[in-house]
Amino acid sequence: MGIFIEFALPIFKTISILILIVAYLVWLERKVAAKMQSRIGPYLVGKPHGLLQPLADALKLMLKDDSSPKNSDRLLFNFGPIWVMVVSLASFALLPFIFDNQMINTNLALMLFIAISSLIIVGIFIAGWSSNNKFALISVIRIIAQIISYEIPLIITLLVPCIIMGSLGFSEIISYQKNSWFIFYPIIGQITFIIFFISSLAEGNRIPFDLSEAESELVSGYTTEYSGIKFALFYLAEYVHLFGISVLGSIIF
Amino acid sequence: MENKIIEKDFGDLALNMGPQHPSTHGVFRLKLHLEGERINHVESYLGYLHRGVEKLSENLDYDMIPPVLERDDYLSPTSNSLGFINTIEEMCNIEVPERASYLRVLIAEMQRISSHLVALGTYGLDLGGALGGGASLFLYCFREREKILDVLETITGTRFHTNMNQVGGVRYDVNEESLKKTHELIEYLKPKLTEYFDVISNDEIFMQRTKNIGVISKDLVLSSGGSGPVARGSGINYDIRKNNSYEVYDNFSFEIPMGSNGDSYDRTIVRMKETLESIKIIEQVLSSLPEGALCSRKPLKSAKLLKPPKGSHYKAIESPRGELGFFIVSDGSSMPYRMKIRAPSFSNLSIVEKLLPGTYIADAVVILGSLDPVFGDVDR
Repeated sequence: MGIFIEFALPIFKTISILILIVAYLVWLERKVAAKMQSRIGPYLVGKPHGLLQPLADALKLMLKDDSSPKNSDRLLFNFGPIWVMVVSLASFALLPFIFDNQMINTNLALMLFIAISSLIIVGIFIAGWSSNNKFALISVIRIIAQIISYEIPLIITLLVPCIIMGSLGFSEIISYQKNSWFIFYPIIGQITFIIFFISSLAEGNRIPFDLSEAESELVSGYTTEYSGIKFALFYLAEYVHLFGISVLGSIIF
Repeated sequence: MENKIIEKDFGDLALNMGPQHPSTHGVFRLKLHLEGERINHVESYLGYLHRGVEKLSENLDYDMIPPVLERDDYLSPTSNSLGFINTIEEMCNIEVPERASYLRVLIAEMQRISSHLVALGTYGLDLGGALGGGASLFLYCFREREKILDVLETITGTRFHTNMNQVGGVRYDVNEESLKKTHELIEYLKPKLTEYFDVISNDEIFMQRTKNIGVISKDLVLSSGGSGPVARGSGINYDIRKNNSYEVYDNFSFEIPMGSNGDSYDRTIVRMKETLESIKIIEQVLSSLPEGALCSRKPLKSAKLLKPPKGSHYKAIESPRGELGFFIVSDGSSMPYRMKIRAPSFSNLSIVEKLLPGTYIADAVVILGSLDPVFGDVDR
């Protein structure tokens, strides 16, 4: 029992807070995009401003029929979304993102984070490959090329502050910035931040780097054949990963 | 059974784009033979929206055909019935009162603007996707189009398939209220359209996606019968409103926008400039609308059945997509013996197979969108 509380409780706490944050970030994105395009956005579910919309979406996706295409590799097809979700959640064990919540504190945290989060691509690759769909296949080819090529500048920009601060551990990096953030470090700080920002957009597959999901050509990329809870896992994992990179950015800079 | 795929040696991968695909603008199937992301060979399959309009018309009286035809090219319904009615009027030598002709031009030009707005908006979606800048363009364009449809509703009672034209004249008259609304619409649209034109024609991303993509040479346009913005984008000065004027287009002064390179960018710019020219025409219609009768024939319930003399006739008008022609063979009865529609989208779309090989998948969508096909018009 004691072990259970010691290990499971913080994990449960982190995951639930994380999913709540991500759900409402999606809601916020939809609202802001709507404002830019002179629309209203979600407003019906949960009267003031459609605040319950994320819950309704999640419920709808969970209740949907689970289907998989003919001739697909059933085992890998089911394994893909689980892998992506698990990996993107696992990377949060290292991030001190809320209430002092860092579960693992090592002085190799940054390196571990990069290593774990770059495993996401394996799940996406499995998903695209196993769904027996040419759109998904082309999307996966694109996404691998993109992520591999943008990961290099991302890691190099992360190394710059680490060399200056002399540590890879997040707590040391944070305490180093007690007086002034790294982004205010003359010249180097700004340049690295700009490169980091651009390549993190590419890492998270966001516009304008959404080649893998290019809606107009590839229908919806590697998630074309997914529906229901498996699609929800992909969707959530994408935003969790994005949130993770943003947290990393706010820690380093 | 063994699941064996037989492929000719066109490339690594045969990708079916459509008939259910977000960017084929309807039900159109492109079979792309790819090598990596490069397209090696293209086969196109049509006919998913074939509704047999031509055959249907052979069993209808001439006065019953225009409402059916308006469902043909569903983004600019008026131009379909206008082309048909012009052909019949020339066959039977029916005079049209001047006021009716002005009103026909008014409706046709309003629908030309709305059709070009749809073309531009959906083109934005092709380029940008649902959350990108493309969606903003799409929503802005559809917002302005909605205003046009509202005015069409006050004039004719219908937002879309206006059913304004009939042989010999028009069905509905404008009154003070609808004229005032049309004035307001023009005042509203002019700055908006100019603004969109300025933003889009100088937009860096838009230029990079469309400049030198899908270049159609003059020869290719001529050999495949391209017309409308596709021909004008390639620098061919062909607009039936000027070259072979019908209705009262001779009375108005307007320019024909032209492109020079024949790429996707030029075709889009031609369409945008055309909306501004259409506004000029509408202004002139409003300022010089003559008084007079609406129709030279009796009301349809008491009018005699139309029986054109034996023989055949071809007449074309300028629809938003190009040369829309009607070839009608009459055997002297009250129904056409044969009717053939020369659809502009069909000829324009035939360029696709020659244009796509050698380009990338991402460009295929851009090129297809720039031809602005409407599949009601292609398949008829």
